[in-house]
Amino acid sequence: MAKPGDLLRVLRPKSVNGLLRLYAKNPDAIIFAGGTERATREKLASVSAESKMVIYLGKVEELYRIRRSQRYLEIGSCLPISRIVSIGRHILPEALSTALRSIANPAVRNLGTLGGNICAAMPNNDSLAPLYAIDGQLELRSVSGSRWMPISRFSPGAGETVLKKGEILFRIRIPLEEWDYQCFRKVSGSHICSHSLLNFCGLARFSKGILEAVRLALGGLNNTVFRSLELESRLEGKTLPLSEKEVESLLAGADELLEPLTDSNFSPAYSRATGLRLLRWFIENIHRENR
Amino acid sequence: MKISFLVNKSPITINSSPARRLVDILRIDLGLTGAKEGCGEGRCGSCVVLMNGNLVNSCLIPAFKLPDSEIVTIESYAQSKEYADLKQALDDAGAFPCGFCSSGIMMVAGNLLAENSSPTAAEIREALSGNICCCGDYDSIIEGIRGVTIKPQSRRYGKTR
Repeated sequence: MAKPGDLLRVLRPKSVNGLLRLYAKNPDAIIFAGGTERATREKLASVSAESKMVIYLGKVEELYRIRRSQRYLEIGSCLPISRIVSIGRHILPEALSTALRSIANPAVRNLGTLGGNICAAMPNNDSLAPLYAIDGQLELRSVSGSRWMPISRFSPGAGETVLKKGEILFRIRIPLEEWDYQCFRKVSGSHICSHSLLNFCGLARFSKGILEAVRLALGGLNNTVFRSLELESRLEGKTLPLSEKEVESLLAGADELLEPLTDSNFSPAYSRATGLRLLRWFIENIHRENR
Repeated sequence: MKISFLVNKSPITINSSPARRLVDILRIDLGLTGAKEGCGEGRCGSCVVLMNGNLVNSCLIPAFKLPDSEIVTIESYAQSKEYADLKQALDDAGAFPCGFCSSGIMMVAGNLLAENSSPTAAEIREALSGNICCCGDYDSIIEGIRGVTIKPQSRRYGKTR
């Protein structure tokens, strides 16, 4: 008699067109690439017990490509995180590079993919805050065609995506803008638990003591990554260094905008206070960089 | 599902459920018990092997990813001179009281030393960030790994930090 796992059917498309056709015919199949989220014993057992179908993306070469133009870097969704990090900080935005190097550990980064980190859609996943801050774009593909969207529209809530049946994340487009200061900061529980509780990405461009552009993103506070254009615009155009009164006013504004979850593992007060501390830390660093 | 792949340079063909994990295939089907299952979710590093030249956690590799791959386990690495040097240096440093995590750490350290013959303590710590040793101490392990690059008679463990 066959064991449950023996009934698992694995499809291995070799091209993106083949993949999309297979996925259109089998929209309930499980898409599998790096497998760091899905390959634990319990999760594999649950897939097997339901005799589900798996579409394995490891042979779809188009999903592993990197393409660089003057304005963008485009990364195939199945490229392992370690390969992306090896592109180097002089090409990859430094904040994103720092975030990717902070994910799990080297062996997991050899398996895990950027596409997987995005599609898991957990707001504390480390790639998300930098991708929100740099205005990353995603290309989604299905047999019906291709559509691009900003990453900020990809996940309406924790674990949820706007992917339709039969649609995959094909590639991630990263704008290659110049920033005078970039940072990524991760707040995590311990060495063993390497998931972020919160993470923060800040970018700043300044000229002649004027803050020209600012991007701020905070992950893990709520069901989606927090980014506020209103908050950013309050900082843009300001003369550096900001006075203590300006900093306090900005933090008070941020305090009103932050809406920490009440049902998470840590208190909303802690999340709020940590978010505001990270924002203050970012401003202090801009002051230092501008000197 | 019939799966053919290389383990320690030997061609292997097995019949396996596609959902079985590499760590189970190595330990149960092939009797290669050097890779240990600790956490089962890629955090502890006890099951680390090389897959197509890259360090991976064998607890996170389902059998359906194996066809045409090349796996190297601690049993193969343990035959090399590099392993003997590393083991001696770690023994000299007094690392690994129990040894459960040691095969994973040896694989990671061997891979690091192959890429970087004189890693700094920070580079070793980063490389070992996915290896949990619960009963030893990391300082001894790091000193042992750094000690590989030092002649045995010149090692002064505990005094080189």
